[in-house]
Formats: sequence, C-alpha cells, structure tokens
Amino acid sequence: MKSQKAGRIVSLTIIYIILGVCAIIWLAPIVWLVLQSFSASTGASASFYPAKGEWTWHNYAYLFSLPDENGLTAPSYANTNAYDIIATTGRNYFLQWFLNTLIVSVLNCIISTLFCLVVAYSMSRFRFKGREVLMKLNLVLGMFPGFLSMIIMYWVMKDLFHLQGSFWALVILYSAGSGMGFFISKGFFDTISRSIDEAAMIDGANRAQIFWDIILPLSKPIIVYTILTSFMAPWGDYVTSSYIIGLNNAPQWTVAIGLYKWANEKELFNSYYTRYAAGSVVIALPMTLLFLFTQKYYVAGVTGGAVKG
Amino acid sequence: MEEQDSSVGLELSEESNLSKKVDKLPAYMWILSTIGKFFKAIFAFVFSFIIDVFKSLFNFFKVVGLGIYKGILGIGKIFKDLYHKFVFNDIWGRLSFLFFGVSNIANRRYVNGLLMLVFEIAYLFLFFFSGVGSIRLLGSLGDVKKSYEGNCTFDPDLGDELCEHVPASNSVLILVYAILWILSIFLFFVIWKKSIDSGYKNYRIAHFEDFVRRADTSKPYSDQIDEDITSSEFYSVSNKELKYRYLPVLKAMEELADKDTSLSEKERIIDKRYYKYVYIRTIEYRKEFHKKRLALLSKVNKIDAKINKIEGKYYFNDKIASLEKEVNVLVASYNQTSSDLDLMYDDLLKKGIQPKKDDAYNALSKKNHSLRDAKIRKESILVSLKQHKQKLIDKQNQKKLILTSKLDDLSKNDISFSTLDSVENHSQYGKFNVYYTKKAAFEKDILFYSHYQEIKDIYNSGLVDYASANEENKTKRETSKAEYEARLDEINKQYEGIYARRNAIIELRNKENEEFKSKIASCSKEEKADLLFQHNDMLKTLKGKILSLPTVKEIKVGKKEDVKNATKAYNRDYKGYVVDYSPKAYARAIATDELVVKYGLEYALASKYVRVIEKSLSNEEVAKRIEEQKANLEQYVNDNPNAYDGKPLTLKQQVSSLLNENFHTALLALPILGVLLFTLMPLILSILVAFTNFDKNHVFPASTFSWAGWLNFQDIFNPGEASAYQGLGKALQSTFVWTFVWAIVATFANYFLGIIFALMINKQGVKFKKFWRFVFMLSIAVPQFISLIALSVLLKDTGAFGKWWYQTFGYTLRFTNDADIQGLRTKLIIILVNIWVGIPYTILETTGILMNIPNDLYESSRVDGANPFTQFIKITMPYIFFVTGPRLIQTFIGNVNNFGVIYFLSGGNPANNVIAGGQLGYTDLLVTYLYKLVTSPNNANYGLASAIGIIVFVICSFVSIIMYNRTSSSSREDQFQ
Repeated sequence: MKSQKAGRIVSLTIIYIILGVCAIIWLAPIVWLVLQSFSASTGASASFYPAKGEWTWHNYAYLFSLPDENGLTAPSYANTNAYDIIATTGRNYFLQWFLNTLIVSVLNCIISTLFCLVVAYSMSRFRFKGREVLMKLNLVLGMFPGFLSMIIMYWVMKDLFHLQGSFWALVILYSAGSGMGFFISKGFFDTISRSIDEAAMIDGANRAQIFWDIILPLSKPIIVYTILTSFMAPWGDYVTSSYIIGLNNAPQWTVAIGLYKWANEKELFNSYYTRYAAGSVVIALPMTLLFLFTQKYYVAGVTGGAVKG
Repeated sequence: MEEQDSSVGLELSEESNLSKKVDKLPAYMWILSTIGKFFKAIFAFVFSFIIDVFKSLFNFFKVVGLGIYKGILGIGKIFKDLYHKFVFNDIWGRLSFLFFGVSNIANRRYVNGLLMLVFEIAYLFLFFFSGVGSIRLLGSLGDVKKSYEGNCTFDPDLGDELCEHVPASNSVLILVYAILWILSIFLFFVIWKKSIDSGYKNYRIAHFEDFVRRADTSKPYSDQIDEDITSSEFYSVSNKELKYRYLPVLKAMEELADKDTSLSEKERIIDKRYYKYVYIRTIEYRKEFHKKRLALLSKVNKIDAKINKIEGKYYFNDKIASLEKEVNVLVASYNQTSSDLDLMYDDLLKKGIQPKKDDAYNALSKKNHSLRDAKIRKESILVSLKQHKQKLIDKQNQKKLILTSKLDDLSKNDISFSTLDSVENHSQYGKFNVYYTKKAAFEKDILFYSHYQEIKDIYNSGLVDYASANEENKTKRETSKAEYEARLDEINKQYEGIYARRNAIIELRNKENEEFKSKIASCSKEEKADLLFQHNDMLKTLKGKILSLPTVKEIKVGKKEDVKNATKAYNRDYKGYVVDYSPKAYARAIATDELVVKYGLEYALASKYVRVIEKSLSNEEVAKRIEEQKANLEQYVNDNPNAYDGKPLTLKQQVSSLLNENFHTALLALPILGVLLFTLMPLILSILVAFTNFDKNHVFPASTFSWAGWLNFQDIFNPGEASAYQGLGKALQSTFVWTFVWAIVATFANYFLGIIFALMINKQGVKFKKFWRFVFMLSIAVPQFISLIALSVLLKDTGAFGKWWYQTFGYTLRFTNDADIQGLRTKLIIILVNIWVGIPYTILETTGILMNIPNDLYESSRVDGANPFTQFIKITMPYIFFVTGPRLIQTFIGNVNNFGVIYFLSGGNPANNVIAGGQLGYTDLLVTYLYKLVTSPNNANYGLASAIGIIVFVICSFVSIIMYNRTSSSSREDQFQ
C-alpha cells in the first residue's frame, strides 16, 4: 500500500513539474507580447519586460489617435512616416484598418450566417431531388485548396467588378461561398425533433414560419456560434486579404495586413514594433474572450460529426 | 479419486504460477520483446498500407467505371423518357419541345407559358450574338495578333497591315464569359426539360380519365405479377425469360382492346401503344427489383456467414472451452473437498479433538478456500467472455433484422408498372384537379346525411352520459393520484431497504472488526494465525457483498430517477382526466370521434358536421338535403364532361408554394448561386489557367495570354533548357519531400503529444484541471497570426529569445539564416513552434473524448488482469483513434496547406539561392511557394502557381481517399461495442 501511494505521489509530482514548465512555455510569448505593448521604446526590446520608467500607455493612445499620458496627440510624437496619418482623410492608419475590417466582418457575418443557416435548414428538413448530389459536391469542392481559386479571383475582381485593391472585394469572397459550411448547423438542426415541425404544420404554419418562429429560436447556441465564427474570420485572415487588396494600398488594408507589415517590414520594424504589440493586444483580447466562451461549441462541432458518422 | 483431484489442483496452481512468471519477465527482456512487437506492428502497417493503396486504386477505377456505365444507362433512360413524352402527347405538347411554354399558353396558363417563351427567345438571341463569340474566343484567348498573322491584308488607306490594329483583349474576361456561357447552357436545358414536362403534364391532366381507364384495363399485368410473387415466386433477371412470361398478357390485352367496340380507332391505337409501353417498363421494373432483392439477400447471407464465423472461430473459443473444463474440474474438486471437510469435522469431533487445532483439517480447509477462490475467478472470466461473444452475435443479428425488414418491404412493394403509373396519375396529375376535390365534397355530404340519425343518437346519448363520464374521470383522477402516492411510498421503501441492507452489512463488518480486535488482544500466538486467516476470509466476503451493492451516490441517483419517472407518468395521466365536460362538450366530443374514426373524415370537417347536428334537423329535412346534394353532384358531373377544369396551380399559388413545400428552392437559390459563381467557377478557371502562359508579362492591357499546353507542368517536373525556371524541378523535389515530412511530423507530433498532455491533465488526482486547460486554450484563443508573428520576432537573433540564447549558449540561434543541411535548424524550430500552436487543439478534442469512454471497458479489462499500460494501449488509444481518426486526415491535409505557420515564422527562409532569385526557400511548402509566385512583384507567374495548386489538390485528395478507406475499413471491424 505504502509503495503504491509513494509511486502515485512521485508520478503526480512529475506531472505537475511537466505541466508547470509547459504552462510557462505556453504563456511566455503571450505575456511578452502584452508587456511589450506597454514599452516606451519603439523597436523590439531584448528584455522580457520594459525597464523601470519605460512603462507607457502611448502605444495604445497612438492606435486610437488619443492624447497619451503627457497630453500629446498622436501626430506630434509620430515620426514622419508614410504609415501614420492618411493624407486624404486625416485619419490614423490603424483606425482606418480597424474600420475596414469591421465593415468586412460585419457584412460577412450577416451574409454568411444567413447562407449557412438557410442551407443547413434545407438540408436537414427537406428531402428533395439532388440533395445527395449537393452534399457530395460540397465534399469534393471542399477538398480543393482555397489558394487555387484565390489566384484567379484577384483578376476577376479587378477586371470584372473593378474592385482592384479594395476591401469590398473581400466581402464577396468571404461570404459568397459560405453556404458550404453548413455541416455543423445541419447536425444541430437534425437533433431538433421533427414532431415539433409537424405539430406546427397541423396548426397551419407554413415552412417559412416554422423556420423563423420555431427552429431559429430553438437553435440559439448554434446561431451564436455561426455568427461568432463568421465575425472572427476576417480578423485573422492574412493570405486572401493581402493578395486581393495588394501590399501597396495601405488605406484599404485590413488589420491583419497592417500588423504584419508593422512587424515584418525592415524599415518599419524598429519604429513600429511596440505599436504592433499594442495593436495585437487590442485585436486579440476580444477574440480570445469570444473563443473562450464558445469553445464548447467548437468541441461539439469537431467531435459531433465523427461520433455520429 | 481424492489423489487425482488434488493432483489436478496442483497442476492448475503450477500453471497459473507459470503464467505469472511470463508476465514478470526481467525488464530488459520486456523491452526487447516490446521493440520486437513495435517493429512487427510497423511492418504490418506499411505492408497493409501498400495493399490498401492498390485496393483503393482498384476501388477508384471500379467506382469511376460503374459511374460511367450508369451514366450511359441514365442517358438512355432520358431519351426513352423523352420519346414517351413525345408519343403520348397532343400537338401543343409536341410543339413545346421546340417552343417553350406553348402548351401552357394553349392550356390558358398564359403567364407561365409566356415567361418560358420569352426566356427561350432572349437566351437564343443573346447566345448567338454574344455567347457564341465568347466561346469561339476561348480558342485563342484574345491573342488575335498571332492567330490572324497569316491573314493580314495590306490596307492601302491606312498604309499598314490590318491585323496590327486589332487591340489586345483581356484574356481573363474572355475566359470568364466563355465559362459563364458554357455553364448557362445547362440552365437552358433545365428550362427546356421543364417545358416538355409541363406540356406532358397538361396533356395528362386533360386526358386524365383516359389514363385512368387504361391503367384499369392493364390490371392483368398486376394480377400476373401478384401471382408470380405469391404462388410461383417467379424472380428473374433475364430479359428473355421476363419477355416470355409477360408477352401473353400483352397479347390478351391487345385482343381486349380490339374487341372493345366503345373505343374509336384512334383511341384503340393509343391504348395498344400504352400497353406495349407498360409491357416494356414492367420487365425493366421486375428486373431492377430482383437485382435489389439479390443484393439484400447476399448481404443477409454475408451476415449469416459472419455469425457462423463468430460462433465457430471466435478468438476466445479455445479459452472458453478450456475455462469450462477447468471450472468443471474445480467445481468437482471443490465439492469433493467440502464434503471431505464436513466428514473430517464430524470425525474429529467424535474423536474429541478440536477440528481447528488439527493440522490435516486446517490444510484441507485452506485448500478448500483456495479452490473456491479459483473457481469464482475462473467463472467470472468465463461469464464475461461468453457475454462478449454474445454481444458480437447480437450486433450481427440486429443488422440482419434491419435487412430482413427491408426485404419484407421490398416484396410488399413489388407491383407492376401499370399500377405505379396509375398511382402517379392520381398523385401527380390528379391533385391539381379541382373537379375531384369538389366531387369528393358532395360525396362526403351525402355520406354524412345518410348516417345522420346514428350520429344524432350518439350525440344525444352524450348529453345524458356526460355526468357519468365526468364521474369516471374524477375517479380515474383519484385513483391515479392514489396510485402515484403508493408508487412514491414503494420507491421510498425500496430504497430504504437497499440502504438498510447496505448499512447492515457495513455494521456487520465493523462489528466483526471490533470483535476481532478484542479477540486478538486476548488470544495466544498459535491461535493468532488461524484467527487472522478466518477474519480475512470473512472480510473478503463482506467486502464482496458491499461491492455488489449500489453505492450511496448510485442509490440517490436511482431514487431521483424513479421519482421523476413516476411523477412524469402521473402528470401525463392526470392531464388526460382533467377536463370536466359540460353536456354539450361531451356530446360533441364523442360525435366527432365517431365521425373521424368510423367514417374517416378530417377532424375539422367532422366538427363542422357536429354543429349541423346541434341544429336538430327533422327527418324530412335530412332526406331533402341528401336529394339536394345528389342532384348537385349529378349536375356537377354533367357540367364538367372532361373531368378537367383547366386550373392547375396558378402563378400566385406557385409563388406562395415557395414559402411552403418549395421553401428549400427559395432558400437555396442564393447560396448555391454564390457557390457556383465564387467557388466552382474560380476552380474551373484556375484549372484552365494552369494550361496557359499567364504571368507578369502577359497581363492586360499590355498583352494577352494564350494556351500553353502542359508547359507549366513540364516546368515543375522537367524544365527545359530554355525555360526561365531552370533548376526549379530539382529544387521543388526537396520542397515536395519537405512538405510531406512536415505534414507527417506536424500531424503526428501534435496528435500524440496532445493526447499525452490531455491524459496528464485528466489523470485522477491532478488538481486545478480547469486552470491547466485554460493555459493551453489561451494560445489558440489568440489569433494565430498574432502569436506567430510575435514568436518570429522573439526567435530572431535580435529578438528577446535569440539574445537570451546567445547569452546562455555563447553562439547565435540563427533561426532563419542558417542554410546548412537544407535549413535543418529552421525546420526543427518550426516543428517545435508548431507543437506550441497545435497541441491545444488536440487537448481540446481529446478531453471531451476521454470523458466519454465507457467505464465498463476498463472494469471488464481489469477482471482480465490488464495493467494501466495495457489499458492505455488496448482501450484508450483505439477509442480516441476511432473518434478522431477521420479528423486526422483533415489535419494532415491542413498541414500540407499550412500557410500560416511557415509564412509568418520563417517566410520560407533560409533562401535557396540557386533558384529563381532565391524566391524558393528551404522551408517553403508548396503553398507558400505558390503564394510567393503570385505576389512576387517581378516574377509573378499565375499559370505555374495554378499548376502547383492542382498538384497539391491531386496529392491531397489521393491521400485522403486512401486514408478514408483505411479508417472506415478499420472501424467496420467490430472492435468497439
């Protein structure tokens, strides 16, 4: 008995040590990023945290064109770089990017959620000709890498829609094909009993009324999940947005492109690094909270299909 | 006898000792054997993988071949269908093959018909003016200068060659328009089919009665088929046999048509043609039916074979047999020793010796105990093995049950085509007919009034009986309440009993313990051993009893559940009796019930009729109404000689059906259009672009691009001497290798490490589980590009980590600028960082799965003597793999296309200077190279990039098809119950 207990204590201690070390490794870069955002020096610092007396809010103040703790407004402490103030609007670049991304994500959120739920409802509740074909086509289309269609879409957007270098092209690109992501919501709708539909039908409701008044109120969690995922997608996407908008059209960029530029461009790196950190924190904070609140849906979406299949 | 038994017992114990010895091999032997097993498993895996590749290739070609075969058959069917719709049609219906919607206009559905006609004219007009041109331009992609070179004529007015002045067109737009026009041809065909269908529909609605009559006269077919199924069980897939079987029926029906003098000559010809049509289709249907039946039967046979196999060749059959033998021997010897023990006890008592002080007696009793223990142990293993076997068989039986029920359904539905056709007649063409619904309404009225008196009697009796009904309801309510209370008492008693039993046993054990303590304090040394043995024995049985009882928690949960169920049942019953009827309400209820149940009326109509009863009509009035409705019916039938009122769904009804039975068309229209235009069309375009020379130098307005055949693919695999991409093929070889090494390592490292971490966090005894999970969750909650950029800055030589590294180890990390061994250093670091990024996902998934593994699996394995390590290998891992296996393929594909980790961390660096100005780095994946190819300001090559994209797709789909086959085949084997 005693040896067993001792063995257990030893194994638990080892586990605690491993978990503790890993927790530090996993948290360190994130904590470092947050600390850097409060640093007064502009470039990347070699120390883990800013030195005493170098703590400041002005990176954040700069992002939103607010006066910093010394009462200075953004332009006065900004160096005369092309990436500070947009000449035509007088607006700070970060604010402009934030606004662009917000417009894209709100529109994408509305259209994608509608498309996604509508397709899921049709696939779940109707048995029509060609349903199986559509499901299979969806699988096959999903296998193609997104890069492939991205190449030509740039030219189509440019030549056909004349949306060259504009973030409006992103709205179309993100949301037009979003009907394909119906699988998780369909699984959810399938769990809602059909007898509810039938009861409503006997009461004289038509299919549209059933969808709006009965199914949708019953499936709040999945609606929330769909809304959140479609809202979050544009904030983290760099590939499509950078290719479609282009790297020399700064007023039209989204947040992801701008932050990448700040952190990776050699000329900008030294003067913008801490601003990049502050911008990252501003973007990451709400998204982190959203993710933490919705992770149970994520798990359900990941494992649900497998278990049912 | 006795000696033999004991020798058997000895042998058994020796055997078990031996088996224990095997388990307790010295450590180095164990390690060696494990390594051996490991290599054996890897060999088996690789071997089966190769076999699977061939298998899936074979399956793939089989599926494709079957698809083509079925497609050709389908086209044949379409033509047959069109032929039929042409033959059985009037002139307008036939014209609507050419001019859309003509039949609709002729049948007074002007809006529908005109819409179709306008569409046709507009489409054809636009197609010939614009579409044909676009499709024609597809050949040259607007690169007219070249193709017109030979035809250039000298224009004296301009003083120049004409072709020089043809402006360069935008090849992208030419491609887009041409593809759109080609896709739109499908739309044209859809409307065309719709026009034909509506023409046929109009015809059938107009000649509804004719079709009904024909279907009625072709009853001999269904009779013959009924006979074939029920008495002679005639099934065949041979055309010849079936033709021979049904030809006499056709002949007989044609004769009947010839003899029927009421038919006109024209009608007779159409009838005969219809009979021929039914004849041909019946043969087809019978053939198809029998094929389905044969397929189901073969499945049933397979399951039978499987059951036989399980019964005969079950993996543990030998073990069961040997265990049964052992148990029998043990039982016999145990019984023998028990009786011997009793005899000896009596003997010793007679001799005046305390039996417990006798050595021989004690030895025998010890042996008896050990025999009993062995017996119980073996029996429990035997039972669990047998249960497992039974479970396997039960599962197969369940599958068989489903199949046999399907077979039953099939045999019930085997009807002739003529019957099917007449059913279709009523369901598809009859339902728009107001004529039939109106006629039915008159008939229902007549039905009701002719039974008026009976229903009125029932109604009147209800007026009197209501009190007794209420009384009955009341008593029922009371009894149900009493029953409910009794049930609650019962539950309480039951669980109190369980509690009491449990407590009694626990008390008994405590008492025993105390007694034992007092005894042992006072007894001598010799007695001590004996006492200890006895006591342990007693405690064991008590513990067994306690374990067999439910735990306190289980009792509580069980009680709660029982109470809940009882309450639910009570509420349901009570609700049923809660109405206190008024006399009228009760009378109405029973009268309506009578109408609905006995006469099959709809509920709404029945309650309407009951209202009529309340008006208490006189007999004469009722008779008058019957007469009236009969006259109405007759007149209506006379007024509508065609039985067709020419009113199928109006346009308004069609529009409102978009919110009801056709709601899905309204819902799906936009999303499908979006997918077609912005997902499917770009894919087609990209695949086409891969065969062009579209690059930085061939961009509108400066220039156009043109078809280049397989040039881009040649550049990738075998660049020619003159190619701008000399050396690309060789460099891409290492990129291919790295892409796959990366995908495999990243996928499996994340997978297994993630599972290990999840197990650690979920291990019993580890505290702050939620905190640990939260820490790992945080790194995926932060958007990936942010954390990756932060890490890439950290890892630079000028970054915090890079400086720390230099200070600690004395040399620089050189994360992205060490090209030694093809950038091995960078690759290793990237894989490590990817573990940082990817593990939390696996933890998130695995945690949920770990909680779902049924505990029974562990318990039953513990009975078989499995240690935790074996449990992990045999239960936990297979279970996790079973659930996440399909997901693993997706992760693998995702890693092949993992743009973010590579691009943000290293950007493909260190650069491979040999090729394309250093664009292709050592850590570039195919997709990051693709991205660089299309975004490069100087060397952008869209055709080459598309070709690479296509290659990635082909590889990914191939891998996923193979892996999908593997996981599904492994899950089909009944490893999990």
